[in-house]
Amino acid sequence: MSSGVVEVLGLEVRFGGVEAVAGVSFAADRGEALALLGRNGAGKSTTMRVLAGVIPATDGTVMVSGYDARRQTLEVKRHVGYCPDVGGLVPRATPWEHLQLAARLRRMPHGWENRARDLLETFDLADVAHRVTAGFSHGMGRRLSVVLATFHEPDVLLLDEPFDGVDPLGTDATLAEIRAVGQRGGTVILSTHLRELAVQACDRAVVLRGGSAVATAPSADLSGSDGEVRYRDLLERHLS
Amino acid sequence: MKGVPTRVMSAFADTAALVRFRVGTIRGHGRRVARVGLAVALVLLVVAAVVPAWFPDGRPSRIDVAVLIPSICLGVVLLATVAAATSGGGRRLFDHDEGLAYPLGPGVDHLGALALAPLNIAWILQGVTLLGVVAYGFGPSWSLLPVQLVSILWLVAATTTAQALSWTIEWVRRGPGGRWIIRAVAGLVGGIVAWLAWSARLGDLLDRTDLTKWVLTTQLHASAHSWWSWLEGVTALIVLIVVTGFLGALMAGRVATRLPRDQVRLESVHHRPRPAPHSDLVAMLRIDRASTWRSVPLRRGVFTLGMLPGAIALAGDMEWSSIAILPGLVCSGAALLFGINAWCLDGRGALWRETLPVEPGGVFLARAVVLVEVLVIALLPTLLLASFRAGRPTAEQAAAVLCASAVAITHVVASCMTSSVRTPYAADLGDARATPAPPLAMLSHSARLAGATTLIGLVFDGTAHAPVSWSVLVALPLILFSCWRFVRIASLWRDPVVRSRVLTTVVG
Repeated sequence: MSSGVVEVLGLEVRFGGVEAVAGVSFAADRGEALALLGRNGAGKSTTMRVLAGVIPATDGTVMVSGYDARRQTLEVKRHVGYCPDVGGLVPRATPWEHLQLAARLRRMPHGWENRARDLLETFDLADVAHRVTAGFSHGMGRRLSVVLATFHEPDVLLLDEPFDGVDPLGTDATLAEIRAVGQRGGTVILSTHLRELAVQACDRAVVLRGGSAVATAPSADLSGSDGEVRYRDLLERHLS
Repeated sequence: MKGVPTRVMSAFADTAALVRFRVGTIRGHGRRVARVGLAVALVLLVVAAVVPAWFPDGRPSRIDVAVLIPSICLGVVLLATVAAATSGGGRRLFDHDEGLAYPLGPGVDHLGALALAPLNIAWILQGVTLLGVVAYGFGPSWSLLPVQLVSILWLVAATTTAQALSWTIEWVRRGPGGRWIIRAVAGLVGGIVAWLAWSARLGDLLDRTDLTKWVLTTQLHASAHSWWSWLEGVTALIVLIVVTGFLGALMAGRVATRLPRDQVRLESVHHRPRPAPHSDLVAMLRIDRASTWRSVPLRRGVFTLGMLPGAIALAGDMEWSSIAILPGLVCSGAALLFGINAWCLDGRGALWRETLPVEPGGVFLARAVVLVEVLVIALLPTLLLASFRAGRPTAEQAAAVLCASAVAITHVVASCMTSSVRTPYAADLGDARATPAPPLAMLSHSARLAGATTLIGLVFDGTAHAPVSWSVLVALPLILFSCWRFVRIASLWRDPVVRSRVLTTVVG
């Protein structure tokens, strides 16, 4: 396995008797966008949470930007931007208050307000910047989660189902942000069940099934109707 | 279109199904705790209904106690109404979002709120008080059974009446200008009660009121073996239960057609941005305070807790030594607003907050500080109101009240942060009827907190009659013990495995 900005080796996560991730390995280099594909319950979100430093791995090695995700959690959090799969927003705080808290705790330099305003404009959230997020639609919440993940220009951008319920303009804004991260040398890990969008956004894809990685392939191999057949074959072949 | 009897039967059947579903979701240790808790509450009610009858007649005499029954009956309705009205119609058997996919009418919501009303420490204590007073007042006799049947029917009638009143209040509150109408009425009623209490006329008025005297009259008929008159009273109580139960369902339907204005206003209003925070702690406190004070149930709860106990103390002409019991009661009540499950303030945002690069100890401290603020904000008006008629305290009394407050606050904060880490729940505190934990867990927490804080109150009620140093000497070890518990749970919170379990539970 090549060394990269993100290195996952034999990752295992157990919740009591339930094995959510059972020996996943992959790596992603600087400037690369990698997709995690798979059915519901494949272990994508759990893997993302480990990468974000939110839950500790039960076993295996997870290195993010050169830091051990289990022991150097704070350093990992400084280098990562994470859009969680569910919610991800404090219900009675406004988007601007979320950004203020992130700017403060991430030690962002003076002038962060300009980037915050630009992102809110890009994701069509400027009008609601001072309204609490509890009144947001699902799609608005997803878009704000992407804004919060990418706000501090992290080395590693982790997006878990960022397109879920998002309108085409929001999807375009997210795709543009993924490209921008790649152009500045950052790494993107995208977890989604929307194969075509993953193909469009990423260079490579790791297919997970039942908590294990079953294949790694260039995204182009999973494109179009042939790619769909190949993808389904990957999932079904390992069903038995 | 279904007929009324069919709809009523259907509502009862749906409610029973939901209760079975809810009970089914309580597993393992929680199920054992729930069984023990309910058994204890039931035994307590039965003991209160029987045992005091065999106490010897003394001071106060049975007659002196029996004349209090109408006032206690009135108090049960008033407190039940305040509790249900403050929470926007009482507890929910099912979350709004959970119920959306099912054809559940407002009748089910109403019956669910009625079923959950007794799972409340205040309701149980009032029930115990009423049954105990009636048992002592009427003494040992086989006719105690029909007498207590009247008490039990009154508890049910008071609950259905309070529920119907609370739906009506919520319906007005959700209407045009509703918030101001409710505030004006509450202010007017509060003002009149305060004036009556100030001029020492409240007791006379309660004695003269006929609203609940007929309950005592019905009990006296049973005691005198006037069975037809007793039966008339019992029938009237059953009719009251049916009528208020039906009216409650009707009003619940009306409420469902109106938007919850308080919640909608808080969710749609623009909040003026503030300057960037100058420290990490201030930044975290700011967002935690926003989560607290923009929550409808928390605002209403703190206001009620700040006013009600103080108003009762004012009306009851409470002395300073007895005021020492109030800090514990107020703090245990305020803790139930969010403290027992403090991480639920973040809702699903807990996961995002955990990705921010900050020491877990700082996050823990900020949450505890906000909890202390809530307790103090609820406590200050209570003590202020209670002090109006109590006069100037002696140094011993002042020390006892201050020490009781400090001990109660530190105990409640340590207990809350412990339960928040050990037994978290997923809860959204945006809705006026939301609670930070499921009903049985709320009952368990409230019983434990109320038990400990009442004990604290009684201890300092005693030290108020002793030199100042006694209060301080008693308070110090108790405060240190709470600080040790706080530090211990804060260090557990630093464990990433523990934190991830809490956060993934809270996120739901």
